[in-house]
Amino acid sequence: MTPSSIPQASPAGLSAFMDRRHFLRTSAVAGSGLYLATSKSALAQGQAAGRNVKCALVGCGAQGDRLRVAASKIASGIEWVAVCDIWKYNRSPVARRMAFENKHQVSGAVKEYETLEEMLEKEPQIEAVFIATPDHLHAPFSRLCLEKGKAVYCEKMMSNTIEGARDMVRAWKQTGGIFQIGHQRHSNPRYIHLREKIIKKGLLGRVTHCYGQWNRGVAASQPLGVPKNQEIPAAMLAKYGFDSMEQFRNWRWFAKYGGGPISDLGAHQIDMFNWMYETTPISLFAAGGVDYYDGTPGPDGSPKAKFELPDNVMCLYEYKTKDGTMRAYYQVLTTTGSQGYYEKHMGVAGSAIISESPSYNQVYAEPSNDWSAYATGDNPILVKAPDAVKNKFWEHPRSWAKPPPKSYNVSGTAKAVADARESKALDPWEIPVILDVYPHTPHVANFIEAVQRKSHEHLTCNVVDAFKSCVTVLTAYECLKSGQKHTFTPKDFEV
Amino acid sequence: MKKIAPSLLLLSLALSSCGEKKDAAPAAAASSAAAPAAAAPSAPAGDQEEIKIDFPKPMFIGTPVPAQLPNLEKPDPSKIVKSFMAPKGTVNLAKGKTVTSSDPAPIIGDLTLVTDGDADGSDGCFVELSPGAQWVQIDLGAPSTLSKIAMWHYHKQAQAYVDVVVQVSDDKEFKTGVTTLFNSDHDETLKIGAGKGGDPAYIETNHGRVVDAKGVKAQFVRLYSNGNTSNEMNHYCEVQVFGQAAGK
Repeated sequence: MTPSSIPQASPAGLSAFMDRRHFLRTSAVAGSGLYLATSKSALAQGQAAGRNVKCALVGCGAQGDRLRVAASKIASGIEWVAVCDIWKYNRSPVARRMAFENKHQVSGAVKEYETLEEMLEKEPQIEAVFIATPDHLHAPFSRLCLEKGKAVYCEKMMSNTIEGARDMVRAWKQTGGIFQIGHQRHSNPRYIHLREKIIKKGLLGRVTHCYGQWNRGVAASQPLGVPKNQEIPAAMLAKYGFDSMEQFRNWRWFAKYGGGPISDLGAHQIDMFNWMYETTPISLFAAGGVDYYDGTPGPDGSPKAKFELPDNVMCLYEYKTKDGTMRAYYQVLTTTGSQGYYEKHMGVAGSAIISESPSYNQVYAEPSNDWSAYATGDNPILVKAPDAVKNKFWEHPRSWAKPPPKSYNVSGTAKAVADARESKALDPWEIPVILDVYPHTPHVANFIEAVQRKSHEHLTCNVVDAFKSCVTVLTAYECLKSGQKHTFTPKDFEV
Repeated sequence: MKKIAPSLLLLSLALSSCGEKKDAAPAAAASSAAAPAAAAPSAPAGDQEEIKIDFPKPMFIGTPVPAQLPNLEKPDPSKIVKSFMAPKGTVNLAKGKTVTSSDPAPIIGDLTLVTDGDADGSDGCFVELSPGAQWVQIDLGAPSTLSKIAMWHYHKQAQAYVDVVVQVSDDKEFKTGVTTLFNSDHDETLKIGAGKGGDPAYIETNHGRVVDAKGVKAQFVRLYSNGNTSNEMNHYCEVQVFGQAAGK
């Protein structure tokens, strides 16, 4: 990436995604792969459009670096000033990579700080802080930044505790300002299209069930080691609450710092149940536990990892929508990668499958629902699935060109029974929106837009809404402890 | 990143530790465009001893990712240099010696890792330099008679480094008296006066690559690379320079 590749004009904000013809490509800026944070409306209003916001990143681990990479695709509006992390091993590479991969967002060397306190003291010009630390630091760090008058983009999960998240809302109420939470699907044009153009318009009919899953296999769930000679001094670890270098590296699996897979992976998708239907659940039953990573010998005889938080969790939510009861099942499994991660919305007229992964991008009409009209005009809501993807998911039976497997080649009584019980095949369609920048890019861009406009209302995932999702997710732990169904009350979601 | 061949070569990489011992490095065909600092003396005939390379543990197994370079060699376990004969008293002269670089502020790690005697490919054991053509240089402290140079780039994943050139000189600026010992810059992308290289690109493994220094006398060793087949970054886990210090 070179500065010369950065376009100087052609504004396009989130709103511009919604009215394009055919498949929308969200980068689409002169083929550069860059994304403009400043929308047409902002330009029209003359609201400091294109102004660079001086930004800093605290927490330079995998998620922090992902934010940096996502931000690198934004053409204008960001100026990286400093990064902060107690671990130089992570901090310095991020600062250095900004000089190469975020070159258009850097003027001079990006400064490095070990602590947030020092960074805020020595870099008063910082206007916005991205927080991507372990979860237990989100609440104190965001409060510190807000009290210093900084805008905050804080990664999800808001906190490892509901009280921590509640304090984040309180901090925002006490200080004002801009406070975005990193549920990036809220800014994903494909998700927005599904919510605004398909679900809200009733294409799926009454949605009675939702399903979501994030399945991640054992190989991708192994503990992280400590690189040679890269220990953080014990006093520094202790200052930020870490008991050991091993726990610092694997904080996601310990209640003191994180929320486990149901929080790390599930939060995004459970949040989608709330967001799509603009409500919160009325009850929850959850089951799960440390089913695998218990330190006992694994298949090869060597001890498996030993984690504290549940590795497999299943949640069953009940919602009351304007159309009636809706139940939503969610599972996170860290012992299999089967079928990856996606969400599914099932209505009596059709179903939609969606994911950040472009593999899942289909809508299926139930028999007798003709959706042809939705595929016409300049801005079609749907497009017909090409033959090549007709059989991408199991909704549509495969027309086996090759000899079918034995299980498929039934006849006689077995076939008759199968036919009697099966529904007719659903009609496959595609959501005509493609996101070809990083999934976090539009969300970061939305945050920068909000800072430029000084408008908290412009955020697609403000701290108040995110808090409700945090309660929705972390309450699963109450169910695991009690073994009982939890009935939500309005007070659960209040601050 | 360098031009790549249109045809895709899917490598079948064997990590077997067995194989015929070979004294000669597989890429000993030095292409010395620059005049050597000193006439490369013949290696002493007598009082030889076997020097064994201390290989780190292998860091990857299974099917490697496809790598595409026009001069990429087909992996041949029989060509792995596991040991070599050298005059008695030959040691790793580079261990603990000062390293400088065209990128004085590496992205990951620091330059001391190049000569810390540890070729391990684990996290914390390698230095990552900026994208594009970069070099590291080792000051041996005094002109020394060199037998072999062993180098390990990042060997945790199957990738080949582009435009690898190894040069020695008594001039720390490498303007005069430069001898090129290894050169896989087949189309002279680097333009450092080393000419078109005749040595192959190769997939990194824990066996690294051992270059024949042919008894040349020099104080400085400089190693170039120009990204790799996975990304534009440059890495070193370790460089070991086997030889005898001045006066020996």
